[in-house]
Amino acid sequence: MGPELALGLPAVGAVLAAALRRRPAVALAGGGLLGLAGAVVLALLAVPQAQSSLLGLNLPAAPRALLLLTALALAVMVALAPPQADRVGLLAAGLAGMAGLAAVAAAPDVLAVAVVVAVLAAGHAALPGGQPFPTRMRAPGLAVALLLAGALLQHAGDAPVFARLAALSLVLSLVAAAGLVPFLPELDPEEPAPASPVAWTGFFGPALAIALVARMQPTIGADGVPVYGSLLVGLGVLNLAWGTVGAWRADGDVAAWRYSFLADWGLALVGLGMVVPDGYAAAYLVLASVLLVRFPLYLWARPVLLNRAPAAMGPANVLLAAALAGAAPFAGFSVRVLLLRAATQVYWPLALVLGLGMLIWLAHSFRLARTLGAPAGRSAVGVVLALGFSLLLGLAPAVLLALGGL
Amino acid sequence: MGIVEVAAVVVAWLGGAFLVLSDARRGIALGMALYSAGLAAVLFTAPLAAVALGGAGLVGAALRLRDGRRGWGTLPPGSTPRLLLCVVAGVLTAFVGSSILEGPGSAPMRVTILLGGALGAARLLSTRRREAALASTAVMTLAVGAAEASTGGPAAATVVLAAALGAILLGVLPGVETDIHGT
Amino acid sequence: MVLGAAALLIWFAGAAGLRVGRPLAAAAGWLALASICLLWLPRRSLAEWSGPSLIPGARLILRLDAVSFAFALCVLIPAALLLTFQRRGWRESGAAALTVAAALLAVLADGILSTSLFWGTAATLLLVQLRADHLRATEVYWPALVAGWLALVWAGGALDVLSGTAVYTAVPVTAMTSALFLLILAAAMLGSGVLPWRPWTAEVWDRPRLYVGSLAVALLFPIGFYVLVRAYGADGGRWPSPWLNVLVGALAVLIALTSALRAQAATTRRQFLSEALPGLGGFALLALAVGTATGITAAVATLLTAAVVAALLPLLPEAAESRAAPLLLALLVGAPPAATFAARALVVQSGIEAGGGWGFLALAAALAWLLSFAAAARAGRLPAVGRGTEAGGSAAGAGVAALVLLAGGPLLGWLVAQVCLPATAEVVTVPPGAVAGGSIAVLTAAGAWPAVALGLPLLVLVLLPLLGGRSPRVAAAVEAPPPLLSPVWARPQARIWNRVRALRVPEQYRSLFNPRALEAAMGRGQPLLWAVLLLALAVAVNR
Repeated sequence: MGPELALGLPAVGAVLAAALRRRPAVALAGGGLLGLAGAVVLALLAVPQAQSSLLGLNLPAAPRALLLLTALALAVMVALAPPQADRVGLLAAGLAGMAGLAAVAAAPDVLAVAVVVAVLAAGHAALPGGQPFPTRMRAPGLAVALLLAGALLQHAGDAPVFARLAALSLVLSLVAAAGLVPFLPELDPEEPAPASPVAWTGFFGPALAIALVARMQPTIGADGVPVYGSLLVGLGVLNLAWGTVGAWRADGDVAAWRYSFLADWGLALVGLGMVVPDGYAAAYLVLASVLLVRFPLYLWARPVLLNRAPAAMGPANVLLAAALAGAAPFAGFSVRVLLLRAATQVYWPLALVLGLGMLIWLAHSFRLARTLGAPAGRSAVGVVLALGFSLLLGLAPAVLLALGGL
Repeated sequence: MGIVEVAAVVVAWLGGAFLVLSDARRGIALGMALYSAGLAAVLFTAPLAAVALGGAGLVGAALRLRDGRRGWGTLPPGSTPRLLLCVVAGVLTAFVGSSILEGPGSAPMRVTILLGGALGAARLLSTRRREAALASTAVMTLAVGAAEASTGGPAAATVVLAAALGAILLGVLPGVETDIHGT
Repeated sequence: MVLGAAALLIWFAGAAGLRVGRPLAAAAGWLALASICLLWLPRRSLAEWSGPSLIPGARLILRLDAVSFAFALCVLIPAALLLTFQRRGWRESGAAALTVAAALLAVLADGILSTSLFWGTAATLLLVQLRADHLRATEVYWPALVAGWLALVWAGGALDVLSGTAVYTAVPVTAMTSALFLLILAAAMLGSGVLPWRPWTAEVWDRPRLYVGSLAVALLFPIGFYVLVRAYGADGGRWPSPWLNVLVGALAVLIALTSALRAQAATTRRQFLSEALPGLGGFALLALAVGTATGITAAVATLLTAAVVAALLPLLPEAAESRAAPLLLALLVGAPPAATFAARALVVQSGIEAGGGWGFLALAAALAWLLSFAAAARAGRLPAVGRGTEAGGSAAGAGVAALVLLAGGPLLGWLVAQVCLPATAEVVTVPPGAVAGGSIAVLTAAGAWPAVALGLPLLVLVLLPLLGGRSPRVAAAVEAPPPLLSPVWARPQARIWNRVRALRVPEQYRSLFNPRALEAAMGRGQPLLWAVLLLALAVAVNR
């Protein structure tokens, strides 16, 4: 019953936290304990005996490890959230997301993923936010329709055209599900962090993408692989360019942050599209760094982004800028080595394009780092932790890759 | 293709059309209910799926009657493009589902699934009404559940039940926007 | 380890209120230098330390051989001098010690990927220190370093793909292609700040204070050359194609010439000093490009000299005119008997000795050398610093560094024998009689070069007036003469740059390139836009 528990415990935790909203300490303790129990079960699923499931579910190693990181990121964000933040709301939304992501990871095929994405996205879009529900549901709704189309086309016949169109639908569904270009949702800078599209792309997106790819890739036939790869690479480069240039030229800092997520996702899509182990490993590390570094930092930047604290550029901010720019020895080092190595294996001019993108990347990192202000108290601990995670991903990526079975 | 199956497809199309053409709770709920009924009818070869998805659709439709704009709101002024969409979508899905796709399941089943996906997505992408968006997402979820039943994938029963549960959960979500709070 | 431990100790002590940063960092620098000498000099045998796996397929291994020893000296000599004689707070001292450790590891790394990791780490740590002090020049420094670093990472990754390894000594000869070498070259030139235009190594001299910028130059300058020297070893004692040697040689001469031209047109003495290292870098690059045993030996000797120069330049006192100032300026640009003279002479000699077109390149380099003498003569009359900059330096530190520089000339033979030639032999085959170093002379195929015999009397002649002479009048009060060659290149450069900046998409086409409008269309989820996109992609994938 391991997978069921991994899915159910955070779900119960989310309900409990939401129900006990008026008593924050109890809500945090109860929800936190159930979330922790869910994470422990997730970790125990590495043991084959714990994987037996009543409903025939199984959690593969790669999404499971990323789910564990999602739990870790959630714990850090709730424990070290800025003082003004609604921590109970954050925990409830995060635990619900954890449960949804566990369901996505345990989903046996792409249709099951579509069901979970529909419910999860609707739950997220229903959170109080600046944009109306239908606007926020569009990209994930399209993802559901595309997953359905992809699955139908996979069973439509033996003609190569079906395989190619199925690959097209599935790739676009991944991009739409994550909320990337060309399915970019509207952004409201004043929107609460848990309800914003940045939270969807930065917190739910990584585990969702890895789970979806784990289900999608093995089912794409030989005719579909070229379409799958080239489309992912093309969309990856598009997101990389859009994200880096956008973050550099954006009018507002919130928009700059959002674009920076796109840039990261661009690298991840390119890594996934190259369909070689190095590329996949790079994508995995990028998504892990989105979860553990970029998204928590975005949360800690919220007080400055909402004009409740002044921006600053101290030595810690410069170090953060270097980490966000992908410089050594942070996560960017291992990601860049793996990506450039993979690109050289597949098609060397791609490495040149990626290199250029990585260079333009520098332009926005200082801008983002400024928005962390002068971290103090809980935020300072959070910033140190984020830098520590980034350092770990840069210097010892093998640990995470082994955890994900790569 | 039996007469019952054809009738079921027509009912499902009618449901989808009501969903696309209605801007108030009754019209939307009727659309969802009709689509669910049509879907359940074409799924008669998989009784569990038919009951689960049909029942969930009906429950979801009933739940949609709770909130949102009052009345039917069907075919409001300026509905011509939507009407055209329904007709074109109906013809195209019938052609694609019966003549181009060779699987999964029977042709009526494919057409009904395609109708749910196409009209649900079209409505979701074009509406500004929360209740319509929720209902169209639920219709898509039911179509996904039916696709799983027709493909017979691993743990198909679990996925069908999840889709049914998802459609009900989408019905439980309120049809009115809540205020913003928090950071 | 010594430097890393010192950094930690400094920070912990500083946090506890004990301000022992500067002495501790200085002691760590000298101790590291002594340790590396003790580890290498008595045994002169290869030592390797294996570390954890960095990324799949790349293990961290540190390697101490003749090449890494020579470059460790290039890093540690200026580092120890600067940590000792420059004023730093405890935080800065800790960061500096850690940066020196990273730079040292970069030249002890056995493969391109490990070098890129530590090089990048040193660059990042220096960026933090530079930005903490002042913004100026970081906008040139950071992109150049990251571009160079990315080129190196790519080269390492590509070598790994082509040959299964990026370890310098294990790369098969066939794996090092011309394209890969060009990447390494780009990395080296950008990282070491050796370019035909004003590089970051010169730009950092425009900062108000020099204590971080000078450390950055001292630590990062040798690393690019380290990779280029290792490239010889990785490709069986030669670069992938002879035309690459010619290309690098021509580039090197261009670098030396443009640097000398900028130096002779300087408006402040700092501007003049800022060109000393890029100029020497051009000479070192030329010697490397020659590719003979003499050439590589000359390159290593030049880099060791450059290491001392990198320490001497920021330590020169700027507040008041010293009587040694004109002399020091002359020594810096290569007046005998300083190491700057000996190294440059050896480079020119290696070019002429190689024959063919190399002789012409060597002559062009000699022309750059002559120009820098003109620059030095003029620099004595320039104001020490420009507006908005703080005068710095340390008389004691400059004295020590200048003595080392002076001693380097007469001791060149010893240096060649102990450090440069073993490093050359590590990467190329040294034919008997090609180059050697004795205690009194440098022996090359073209003949012996009595470093001690030439250097010692001159050294005495130089020191006598210094020890017994009177202080000269303040030269800076006299207006500096106009440059020998006026900087005509500056105006067209600025004009082109302004034209590029003024380029705009014509009004009538702007709507085609409006990302905001596209984004708004995406954000509002226009079904028509998405339908068209899907259709277009569906057609595209089925063509």
